[in-house]
Order: sequence, then structure tokens, then C-alpha cells
Amino acid sequence: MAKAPVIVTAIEIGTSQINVLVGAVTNDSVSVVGRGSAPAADAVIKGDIRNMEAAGKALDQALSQADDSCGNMLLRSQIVTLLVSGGGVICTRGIGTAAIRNAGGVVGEYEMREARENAQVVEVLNDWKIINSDDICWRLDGRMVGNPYNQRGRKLEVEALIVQGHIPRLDNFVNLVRSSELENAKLYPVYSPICAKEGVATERELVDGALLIDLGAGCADYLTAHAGGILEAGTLQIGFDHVANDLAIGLGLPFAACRKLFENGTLKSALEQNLSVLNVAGAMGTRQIPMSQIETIVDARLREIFEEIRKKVPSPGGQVNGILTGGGALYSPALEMFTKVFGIPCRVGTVADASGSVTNLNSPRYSAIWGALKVAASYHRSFIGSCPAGVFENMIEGMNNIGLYLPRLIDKLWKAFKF
Amino acid sequence: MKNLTVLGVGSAGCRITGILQSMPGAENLRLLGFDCDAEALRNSGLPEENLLLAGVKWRQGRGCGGRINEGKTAAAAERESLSRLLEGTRLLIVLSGLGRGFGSGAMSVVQSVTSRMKIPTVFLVTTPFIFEGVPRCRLAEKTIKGDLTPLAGAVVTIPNDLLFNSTLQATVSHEDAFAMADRVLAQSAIALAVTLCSGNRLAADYDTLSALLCRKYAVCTIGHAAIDPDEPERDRKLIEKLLDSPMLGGSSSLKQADAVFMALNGGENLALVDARSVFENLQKYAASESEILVGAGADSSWGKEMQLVVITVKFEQSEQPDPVSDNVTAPKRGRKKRSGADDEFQPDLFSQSNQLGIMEGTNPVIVDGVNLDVPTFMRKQIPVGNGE
Repeated sequence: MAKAPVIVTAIEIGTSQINVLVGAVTNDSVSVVGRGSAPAADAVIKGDIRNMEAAGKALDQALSQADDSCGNMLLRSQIVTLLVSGGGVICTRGIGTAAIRNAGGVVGEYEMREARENAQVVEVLNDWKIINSDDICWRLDGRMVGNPYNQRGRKLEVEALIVQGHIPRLDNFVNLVRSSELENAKLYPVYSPICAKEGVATERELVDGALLIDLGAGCADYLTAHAGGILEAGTLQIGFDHVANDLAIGLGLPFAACRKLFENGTLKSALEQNLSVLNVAGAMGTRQIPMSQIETIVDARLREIFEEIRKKVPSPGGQVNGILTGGGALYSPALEMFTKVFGIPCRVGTVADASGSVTNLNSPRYSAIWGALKVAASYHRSFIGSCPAGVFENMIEGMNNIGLYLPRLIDKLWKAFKF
Repeated sequence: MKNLTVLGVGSAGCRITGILQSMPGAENLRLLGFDCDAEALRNSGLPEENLLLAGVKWRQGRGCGGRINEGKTAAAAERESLSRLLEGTRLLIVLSGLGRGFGSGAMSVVQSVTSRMKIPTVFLVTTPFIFEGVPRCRLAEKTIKGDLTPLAGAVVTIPNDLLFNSTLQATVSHEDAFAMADRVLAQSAIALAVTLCSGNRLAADYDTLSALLCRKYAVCTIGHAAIDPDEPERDRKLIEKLLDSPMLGGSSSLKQADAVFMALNGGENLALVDARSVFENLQKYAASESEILVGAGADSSWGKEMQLVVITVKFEQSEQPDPVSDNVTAPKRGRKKRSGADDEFQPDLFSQSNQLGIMEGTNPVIVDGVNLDVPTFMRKQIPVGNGE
């Protein structure tokens, strides 16, 4: 009898739209089986929820669409990853150490896990909690190594990027998802730039050096990576809605009209056709706006966004690759401005490795949510085991885990009762 | 010293910059022209590589027909080109005639570009004749007070009407008079550029002039005179020539000035004692409470000639609000105010401009003390037009 596929879901509650991706986990990958999206309808601004009721309605709409498209498998989701960004997230660094005590003196999963857990022992403020961590670099006996697994040594160290979230703000997102029909799934918030990295960055880019910017409507998430690890990640709560807002104020136009110029590609095609004026519908009728004015306003804001990010990121070193993704990457001058400000070549980050019945995820808007789905699949493999898992496999895995943790438990008990 | 630049903006500015080419001292300057009228640029006689035609895509070199917004739009389209043209400039003198068209429209753009590039800039601008009409004079004043004075480092405003108050003889034709005025302005631009950058006998640097003129609206007069230093009674003759200068307004302008800027430039033999002698004699014409700024420079390009440039500055008196009349009483509740002349006056409704748009009422994004929700073009004072 064929085992039922394990279903995982990724949810993005963004400023311009709410996206849901449903995936079926295989041994080494995840395939997309359903998708839903709905406009956020001003429920979210700058990455933070502004109106819970409106956000809830939009999320329900997106979930319903996703459920229909995957043949009603959504409620079977075992893991749900929820993209988080905005002002309630900060990144710190932690260093964790593990002694290699096994007979062979070889680094195994246990030692790596212990080092990662120790790296998370960092100062956490009241009302904040750790939501993610990601490896920056490994050292074995003081020597930097790419992947320490199966190498011999005595002392293993890891420097990790620790992502902390503000609990009340996180709870808003979590409660929103819980109030939908996914109350039984295991819910994991995941930091948005890490998801974007998972979604579009290649291994080569992460090793050589990469600067990734996910330019969304509400926020610009950024991440630098080198030698396979993340160096820095963060969020600037300025996005393409600010660009549209600047246009609305500068040109005296409705905000919705300015936002539409980007969403429906009007501005992009005007640039491609080298038009000198653009007809824009305003409150008092159609107006002719010189393209130079639009470009002046947009370029000023884009330049500022990238310059603010440049102040925060260290130079990754080596041959750095620029990756621009998110809805903002659809506006081609943004790519030019990226190159101008950072002085590095840049490409548009799009989903390249998605498979399944729903594959039209080519737009850079879906980079982060695709990455979140991949993270959901990897969580499933890490926490629950390889899959599809039956009862017997889970028992074996459970016994293996006891074997991993028992020596540690005995050690702690010995120290506790020694005196 | 080719990093001293004179930029002529608009037809008047380009014309005066073109006149500069043939004057002594001009070989040390880079002369540029910026206009949306291709013919005006051609007529300036400046080299083609030093010309920037604005808004060519949608004006096609036709000029802006005297419309300031069109001029502003055309200039704004050339921000990048203007930045490239001004690269490497150590000091910039902007020449322009205000009151209509490109000269007025482009001022805010030029100011914004030079401010962003951190180029010390002196705006040497003229205002229209009164007979050109009050609207044009108002436009010029609005450009100076709105676009330049609040933001620019130094603005020297010369009214064209000085020509009618000057000591020119009645037999001088109006073409010659205008030509003389243009020459005075051109020579003053050279003298300013050289003195501010290389006052190697007596320093009067840009910061000094800027401190005097920054953020203050002032009406200035400008005079120029040149003499052979070996001529007998040199100082007296030099000052006489200066006082006859058509754009100085005579000795009365010196007397009434709040501040006087004097610059003496000459050949290598110019001594500090020469400068002292000229300045001491000239100061007798100024009021005792006037602020005096002096500078002197020597360079072989001036040859044997000694040149004196004087700028007088008269600040606009700030308007005092009328004191509240004791006769005005607020109406008592429930009673109608007694009818009177005050009823006809309705003050403007106070309204706060919305700088934040849809970001109003949200948690502000403050980075390094700056609210990034305010549009970037507003915070960086980048001028934009909103189309037709």
C-alpha cells in the first residue's frame, strides 16, 4: 500500500499579498502541489500586521485557494513555516562549542547538534525569543572548515547567526494562522531573508560570496553569505510601497494608481519603449507625467534603500554575487541601481528548482515562500526523520535518538550528584 | 586651475559666459553653458563639449517658451549629465538671468546638484527690469527666496534696473549699455572665481562670502574697474572708474550697504601695500558700521593690469508682524460678533501638509535620526514637477 505523502505548508503574510504554498515531501526534495494567494488589502504595512480582521480574511482566502488547488490536502499539513520579517526581528551571533568524545574522535551529527545548541545560549531580552539559527562558520581544533562532518578532531566550534523575534509581534502572525484551520500543524516562524536565500541562491554563490536583497512591498530583507555561511542578515522596513508613496506625494496622484504602475508593468513597458511622458489617471482626470520626473522620484528612493543596506552589511569578500529578488526585482532600473550602489554584478533571483503540479513560480515574488517550503521540508526530515516514515521507522529513529542523548544525560546526572 | 568653473544657465547666463572667453583670467576657468534652447547655446560661442542641452528628448532644443515649470522639468531630466559636467569642480560660479524660462526653472536643480556634490557655489543672478512687468519680477524674487536663498551658500542678486540708475551718459545706446552690463558681470565672475580660490595676497575665501550671504535675501550691486598700476594717482583713478561702473549704483550704494566685498587682483608684482592703499581709500565711501570683506590675489594671467571688483550687499529688512489691535474682541459664546470691517477678512485655513501619505499613522522608520517614511525627494530637496 502506498504511503500517503507528507504535506508541509509555507505561509507568507506580506504587505502586498498573502501567499500559501503546499508541498509534498519526498526523500530529498519537496514538490509543490498547491498554491493560493490573496491581496493583503492594507492589512499589513511595512511587514507588520495593521488590521487582524482584514489579514485574517485575506489569509482565509489564500488558504482556501491553496486547499482547492492541492485537492484538499492542506489540512493534512504536518509542518507549517511562517515567513517573518519587519521590525520585530533582530539578528545576533552566538558561538557554540562541543567536545568530540566518541571513540573514533570523529565529528558526527550529535557533536554538530550540540555545538549548534550551545551557540544559541545568547542573551535574549524579555519578550523576545530565538526563532531560527543558521551556521556562519565551523572550526575544528581552531582550524576553519567548511563541513566538519566525519572529520577527526577534539574540539568543534560553530559560529551561528541567531534570529530573535519579538514575542507579541510573532504571536500576531502565529495567532492569525492558528485561527485558520491549521491549528493542529506544527508551526515554525522562519526569518524571511534566510528563506529567500534557500529559495534562489546557489551553492556556488553562497561559497564565493553573495549579497541577496529581497525587495518587497513593505520591507527590504538583506543577507550576505560567504564560504557557505551567512555573515549578516537584517531587514529595512522600507519597500516598494514607499516608492509608490513617494510618487503619489510628489506627483499628486492616488497611491493606488502609483502602486498599479508597478504591479501591472505599466512603468516597466514605458521604460522599455523609451516613452517621454506617461498618461496616468488621477483624481481630476488623466495627466501627462514626464517620465524624467517619475524616474527622479523612484531613483532617489531606490538609491536610498540600497545605500542604507550598504551601511549595514560587511563586504562578503571574494568574488561577490549580487542577487535581487522579491517583487521589486521586476522593476529593471532597480537592478541597475543595485549594481551602481554596490559596485557588483547582480542578477534577478528567481525560483529555478521547483517541481510538482504547480510550477509557475517563476516570478521573483515567490523566492522567499519557495525557500520557506524547502525549510519546512528540511524541518520535517530533521525532526521527524526520513520520510515517508511508518511506525517502525519512527521507532528505530527514536532508539537512535536515545543512543545520541543518553551519554549526555548520564554526564549531567553525574555532575549533579557528584557532590 | 581648470577646476574653477563658470556655468551660464539660460540664454542670459550663456551669453555672459560666452563673453567671458575673451577676457583676461578666463584661461584659468572652465566655461560651461546649460540651456534648453539649442540656438542660445550655439550663439554663446562656447565649445560644444562644454554645452549641455536640457530636455532634448521632449523639447527638441526649442526652448521652454518662458515657462518656468517646463524649464524646471527640462533641467531635472539632465541631473546626471550636469553632475558629470561639474565633476572635479573646486568652485562654481553660476550666472543666470531670472524672471522667466530656463534660467529661473533650472536654479533649484543646479542648486540641488551642487549641494549633493558639495561644490562651493556662488549664484550670480540678475532680476528683470521693472518695465518687464510685475509678474516677471515676482517670479524672479520667488526663485531667489524660494529655491536659492534657503539652501544655497551664496547668492548675489543684481537688479538690472541698476543700469538706469547708473552714471552712464545719455548718449550711450541701449545695446552698448546692455553690453557694458554684461561685461561687468562677466569680469566680476572672473574676479570672484579667482579671488575666492587664490587670494594669495589676502585671503577672502568662499566660506567668508557664504557666511555673509547664506540664507539671507540681499540686493547687491557690482562694480568693476581696471588700471595700469604704474599710472599716476592710481588709487584715485581706480576708485573713480569703479564708481562709474554701470552696475554699481554709484557711491550711494557703498554708503547704504550693510556689507561690502572688495577684491583686488593683479600681476605677479601686486604687493600687499597696493591692496591696502586701495582698500583704505575705498572704505571711506562705505558706512562705518558696514561689514567689510577684502581679498587680493596675484597671478601672471592678469598681466600688468590691476583689477578691482566690489560687491555691495544690502539685506532685505525682515517684515515685522502688525501688533494685535486692542480693539479686536472675541465674540461671546452664543452671541453674534458685531459686524464690522474685520468680518471681510478671512484668514487662511490652517492645514498641515501631508508629507507621509499612506505612511501617516504608522510606526515611523527612523534610521540615524532621519524619518525614512518622508519621501526621499523631499528630504533631499530634489525638485520635481507634477506634469500637466
